[in-house]
Amino acid sequence: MHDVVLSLQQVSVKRGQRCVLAGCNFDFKAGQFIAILGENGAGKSTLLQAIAGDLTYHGTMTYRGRELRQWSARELATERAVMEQQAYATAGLTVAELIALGRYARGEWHGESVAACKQAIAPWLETFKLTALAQRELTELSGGELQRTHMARCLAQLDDGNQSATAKLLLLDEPTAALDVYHQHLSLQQAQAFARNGHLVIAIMHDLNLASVYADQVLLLQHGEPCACGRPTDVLQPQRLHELYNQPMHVSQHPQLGVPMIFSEPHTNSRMTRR
Amino acid sequence: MSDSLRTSRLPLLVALTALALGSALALTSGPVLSDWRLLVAGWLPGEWQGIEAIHLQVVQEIRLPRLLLAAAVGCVLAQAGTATQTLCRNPLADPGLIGISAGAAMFALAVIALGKGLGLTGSYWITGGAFIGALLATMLVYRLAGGPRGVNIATVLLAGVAINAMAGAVIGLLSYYADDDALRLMSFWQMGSLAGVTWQQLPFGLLCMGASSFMLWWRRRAINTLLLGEQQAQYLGVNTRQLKREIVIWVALGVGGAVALTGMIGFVGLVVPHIARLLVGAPLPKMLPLAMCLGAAVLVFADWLARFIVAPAEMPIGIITALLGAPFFIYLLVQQKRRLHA
Repeated sequence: MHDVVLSLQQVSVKRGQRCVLAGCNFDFKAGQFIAILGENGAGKSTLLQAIAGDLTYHGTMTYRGRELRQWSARELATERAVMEQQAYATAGLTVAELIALGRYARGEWHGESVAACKQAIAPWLETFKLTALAQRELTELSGGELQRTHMARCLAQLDDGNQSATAKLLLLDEPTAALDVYHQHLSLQQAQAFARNGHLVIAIMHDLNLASVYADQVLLLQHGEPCACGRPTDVLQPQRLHELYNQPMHVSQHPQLGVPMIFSEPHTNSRMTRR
Repeated sequence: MSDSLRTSRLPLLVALTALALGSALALTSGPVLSDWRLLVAGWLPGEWQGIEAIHLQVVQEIRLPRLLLAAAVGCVLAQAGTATQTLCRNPLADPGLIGISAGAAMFALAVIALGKGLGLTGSYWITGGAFIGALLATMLVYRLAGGPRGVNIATVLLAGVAINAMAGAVIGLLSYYADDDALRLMSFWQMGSLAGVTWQQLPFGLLCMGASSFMLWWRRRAINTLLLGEQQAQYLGVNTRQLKREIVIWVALGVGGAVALTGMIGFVGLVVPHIARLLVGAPLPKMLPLAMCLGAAVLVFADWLARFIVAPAEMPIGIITALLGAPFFIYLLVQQKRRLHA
């Protein structure tokens, strides 16, 4: 249950001559929800794309003991899903049709019929409160509905039915950016529940409090390098967050949940100090 | 959940009926003899109710190959349009507008012009030239417009303008060497025509179009994932690099085969996929069969109109498709503009 799913050793990524990500050494275990935090341009999306198998990287990155480069797109299709930051609203596609696209690999190579596909996506429509919108076109959805649809698509993509023997990988780039408070929790609860079933979830997040509540580990990135990784209680310290975001932070403890509660404060001097 | 997927049967049925009606019309009407009984007479031995052997010969040797060609070209152009539009993620990317047909026409003409001296006069050489021209044009357009964030549609259309202009110039050059035969050829290449096609010319071009059509249909589910963008298609399990290469080759083969036999017939690849999408939605498994039938039906009717309007003369079929398609293109542009500025 708690074996290492994803292991990064000395992983670095270059864009042109510039090194945008360096010195990544982590072991991520099954069953965990990892939140990646950091200011804009810190390399969060780069890290996520590298893990998704999109970028050429240096160093070693193994997924379930095998070098990531050696996995084919076809093999990865049922094992890892990626929710991109930009949610596409393709014209002429309905909510149900988009989620069904998540089952592409299963239809193409695992002999899943259209009926079986419908059956597989129905619970995810239900879970994300999309059943009533199933026949709605994507272009008619609100931003939040669209984001939920993409999230449902990702989970449908990884859904093996009841028995999932292998640890899957769910990568989310700002999964709650467009959602209202209710649906933020709905989506993150689903991601957390998915992780608890023995899978690994890695999400880029901007809401520190949601990360504090849902993440088992938070990973802080600064200038393309990891600067801290650990449990939210240990990592989300006011001084460290102030340095990370260049913004004064007040951190206290939530009375019931016991997790850090973070409030960003205005700068005390009128002039914003930028590095 | 009762039925999550929009039903595509009714539109498909209508399209098939239209194709059947159009085919019957194309076979039974014309300057020699217009009589519905021609459909029946072919199955009966001997003469029947004044229909003579010569009339049946007209149907078999002139109208039938022409009908077959019209249906094949319409089907292939609609498929090629669907594929390029999905690849570019934009409904304006039509093989005619982005210069694939023009590239094919240019190279086919070059083969005709140079071929006389070199002895390469067979239809395969012309079709082969058209294929290479289409391939080069597609690769050029895609290379020019492709970027890390997908395809830039403005660049695609501008590249199309450039290639179309070049093809226009090459065809225009011909007019200085024109005898009557070549003048007729020019209008053929610019506006397209199915006139005078014989069984002997068909096999190689039909083979190319058939291969293209089959492969684009066979790969419809993979191409369908491109609706979510190249990156997400990769995440869903598609080897996008290879798929893009395949699409370019099959589109070029289909358009090359079509152009070599009929010249440049515009707007079919633009209008037909759009109508199919309106009727059954964007997913290719549903809209592609409909687009294929509709494309065939549209071109069969357009060809019949081309023969009918100025009978007993003929006008190039491209005039008809452009008259119907160009206003539609403007309508699409207005829609895109509205979406951008909404």
